[in-house]
Order: sequence, then structure tokens, then C-alpha cells
Amino acid sequence: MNEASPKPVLRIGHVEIDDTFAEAFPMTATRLIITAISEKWALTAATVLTGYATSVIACDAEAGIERILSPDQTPDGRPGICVLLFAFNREALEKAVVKRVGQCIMTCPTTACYNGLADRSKPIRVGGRLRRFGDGFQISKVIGNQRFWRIPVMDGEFVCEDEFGTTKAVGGGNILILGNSQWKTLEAAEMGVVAASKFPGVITPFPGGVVRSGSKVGSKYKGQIASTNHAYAPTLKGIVKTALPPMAHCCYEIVIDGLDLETVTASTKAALYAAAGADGVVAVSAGNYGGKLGPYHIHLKDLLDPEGSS
Amino acid sequence: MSWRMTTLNHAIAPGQVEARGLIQSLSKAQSALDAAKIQIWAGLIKLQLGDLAIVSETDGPSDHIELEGDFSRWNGLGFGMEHGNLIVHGDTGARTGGELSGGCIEIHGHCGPWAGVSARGGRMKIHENTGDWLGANWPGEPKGMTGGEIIVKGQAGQHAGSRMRRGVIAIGGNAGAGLALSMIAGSILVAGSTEGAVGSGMKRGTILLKASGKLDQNLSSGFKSSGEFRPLTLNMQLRYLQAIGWHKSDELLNLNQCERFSGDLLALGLGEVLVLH
Repeated sequence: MNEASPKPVLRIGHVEIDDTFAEAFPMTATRLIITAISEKWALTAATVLTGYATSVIACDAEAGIERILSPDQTPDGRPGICVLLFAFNREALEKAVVKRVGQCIMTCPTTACYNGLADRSKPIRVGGRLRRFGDGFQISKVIGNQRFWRIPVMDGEFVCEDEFGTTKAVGGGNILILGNSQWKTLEAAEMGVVAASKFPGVITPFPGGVVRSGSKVGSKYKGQIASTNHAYAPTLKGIVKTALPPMAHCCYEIVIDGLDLETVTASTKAALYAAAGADGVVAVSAGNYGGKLGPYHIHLKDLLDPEGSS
Repeated sequence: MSWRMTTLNHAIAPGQVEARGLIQSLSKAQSALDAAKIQIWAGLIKLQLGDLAIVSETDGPSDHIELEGDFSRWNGLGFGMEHGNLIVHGDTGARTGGELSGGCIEIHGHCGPWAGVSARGGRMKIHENTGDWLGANWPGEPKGMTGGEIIVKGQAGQHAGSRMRRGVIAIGGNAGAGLALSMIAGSILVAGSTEGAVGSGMKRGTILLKASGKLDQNLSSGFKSSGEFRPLTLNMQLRYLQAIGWHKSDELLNLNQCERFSGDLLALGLGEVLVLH
């Protein structure tokens, strides 16, 4: 990420916006619809499924809850949750989804799991890989063009769609919020996450949507592929070339993954404006690797409304 | 190119008309004159289609054929159809939609026996009653219907879904004896009542029935109750059938209690009969 502080030339209100860009990269994504007897249990399953799925640096996938669905929006007419999962390629995504659905949804009372993407041209097999848990008692049911597996379990049946659609997606959209205190900066980050999450097709995969341990590529230690982004660590201000303005004593990052660049860009813009409008924010920046990591560059200056810049 | 065909007086046809392959030949015809020259067997006599029906070109979508009149002695209409639409305003004979693999056949009338026999795909809607062996297997063949959807608004005869392997049959009225005889898999839904030996020899698959006083007698003895259980996929299937025009879905969706019987234990025993109360 930025190791040197670029000259701020842009503003939203009194908040400085770095003239830099967020560097996003291609990923492969799928959408799951998890239903259960109540929203509580659907949410429980979705929460467990999306656990330990913050960054592909060390997780098998990046995942998050996209939105809550009412019963009339789900295939089986029960309350549901939409979840998005991202991985580097389809094979990795299939492995991650099969494991997570098998361990986190199938185990959760009353749940079922359905494909949530209309495009099924490049599918991954999920229900078809889990069906053998039924030990020969599983039942296949084809409704229209979709195959569902009914796997007998101790509270009835776990229903899982055979195949899930996948799509090319964008990961790693981000902003860095620099504030004058930890509490104020966190509030601003929370507002940014709420604004970013309003867009269908995006998730903020980190805890509560907020990252405190932003990373840079590499380390002084051999084999460590990522390490703390020291330029934004306030406790290191005195000993490293810091990227924090003098008034900034805390930095939080919001990472945004989405199904397409347009949505990630729109979501990043919403997060940017929400964060910049919060008390105690000194500046907003973005993380990049000098353009070497990903082909998608979301320039903050392009996100500013004409009247918002100065 | 789309066609409309109206039957002429029955007296002209000396016997049963073998209409297998007719729809495919009509689809390939370049003009009404061509179509009228299509050769067709009526009993033991080979005639031209123009001798039995008036064929005219219409402005409808391509691969769209509409038939009007009484086709109850025309056997094999829509046999082996792979695409397009066939709409019949009248009754049809035996083997209508046999070995159907794509497209849609809609019959606004009654349909003879062996409708949808060994169908592999596509959709068939029968607005009145149909005869025996609906979606069944050819005699001696190990598998019946292996795909597709058959919707019957009226009643079905005996042995509907015999040796069915895949697909769905939805019957709005009553079904005759031997429903789902030796069924291998797939789904059969009956909104009316059934006769004896339901699911006899069934290996896998689902039969949905409405509770009736005679059910205990009609269900094959190899079925055991697995208690109250309504699969999630049942409502999904009913809603899907509703969307494609089965008028009984609403009624069945409103029945809340569902008892599940597993069987036929004299065969593989992995099938289920769901009885809605």
C-alpha cells in the first residue's frame, strides 16, 4: 500500500482526499441463498458460513452477507439471507463453497441452500458433491431446469441445489479512513460500511466491514507474504516514513468486493462520502500496490462530485 | 414457418391415421402445396395430407403448428418432436407426444392412450382426459419417460408413469389403477383420487396424493409410514407447476399436513408417497 503520503489536492468539505487510487483485482464469485425456518437461523448459518473469510491472503475465500431476503424472495418461501463468496478462480471457489456449505449450513438446523446467480454457464457443483452424506438415501429432485438434492438429516432434510452459477468479479476495492481518534475514526468507518453495503452485489468481508490491520506486500521476514502497513500505523509515526497527516492518530480500511467494477466503484464512492462526512475524519485515502497487483484502478478523484472537490 | 391444419370429414380416412413424423414433415414444408403433398398412411392406404386436411400457412411464430378438428383417430401426433409448438384444438389419438424431447404440445381436448410414452424432454399439456399408459414405457422397455413435463387437467387412465425414470407428471383429476407401476424415479402428482396398486414396485421417485378414504387400500402393501414430513421441494415444485399452468397447485399448496410413506419395500424401497391432508 502507500508508503509515501501523496499530496492532498482534493477535499470533501474539510476532509482531504488523497489523489490516489484503490487497486482492485479480478476474482470469481458466487451467490448463495440460505433459507431457514426463521430469519434468526438463516442469519446464524450465514454468519457461520462467512466466518474466517476475510482475505484470500490466508482464507480459502472472501465472503460476506449481502442482504436479507423476505420469504417471497426465496425459492422455498422461507426467510433467507444472500451471501457472496469470492475466490481467485472457479476451482478454489468450488472447494471453499463445498466445505463451507457442508460444515456451516448443512449442520445448522432447518436450513437449505440455493443458487442465487441467474447465469449458470460456468457452474460449480455443490449439492452434487455433498449428496453422498445421504449415504444412498439422498433424493434428487429436478424442478424446471434445476436439480436439488434432498439429504436426510436428523431434523428432516437438508436441501441443496446441485450447481451454483459463478461470475467474474472484482475484489479489493478499498478506502482508508484517517481520523483524529480511534473512536471517531471507527464511527466514520461504520458509517462508510453502512453506505457501501447499500448496493446489491457487494460485500465488505472484514469484521464489521472494517480492517484495522491493513497490510503491505512482503516483510523483513522470509516467507511472510504480507505484513503491517507501517506507513499507516500511528504508533510508528516517529520511526517510519508515515502516511498519516499530523492530525491523524488512527486509520481504518474498508475493503469492498463486488460482482462487477461499476458496483464496486459506486459502493466505494458511497463509503467515501459517508466517511468523509463523519466527525473527526482528517483525510481519506486508498490502498494500492503501485498498479502491479490488479487491473482495476478506482481513482478517488474520479469519485468526487464536481461540487465536492476543491 | 407456421401452419394451421383443419381435418376434413372422417369418412375420407379409411382407418386410423398414422401421424408419426407428420409434424416434422410439416415443419420442413416450403409451401401449403408442399404440405398438402405429404404422404400419410390411413389404415393400409397411403394418402396425401391434403386428402385428409386443409393446410394453410399462417403468420405465427416459426415452428408453430395449430390443428383444428377431431384428430382422435390420428395416432402419433407430435411423436419425437424436438422443438416448436404444437397446439391441437380437438381430441387426439394414441401415442400423442410419444418420445417427445423438446418443444411444447398443448391439446385442448381429450388424448388417447400412450400419451407422452417414453418422453425425453419438452412439455405436454392436456386440457381434458387422457388414456392409459401416460408417460409410460413401451412394452418390454426398461424405462418409461426419462424427462420432460406432462400436465393433465382432467383424468388419466391406468398405469400412468409406469417405469418412469425422470421428469414430472401432474394429473388434475383422478388416476387409474397401477399408478407409477415400477417407477424408477421422477415425480407424479395427482390432485384427484387413485385406484389400486399405487407405486407397486417403485424404486425411487415421488408420488404426491391427496388423502382419501380409500388410500390405505390403494397404496401398495410395501409402503411404510415415515411420519409427518413435508419436503421443502414440494412447495417449490407446486409453485413451478402453477407457473407453467397446472390449475391444481393452489389447492394442494393450501393443504398443510403431509404424511410420508416410504417404499415400495418389495423393490428398492427408496421411493416416497406423500399424502396431503
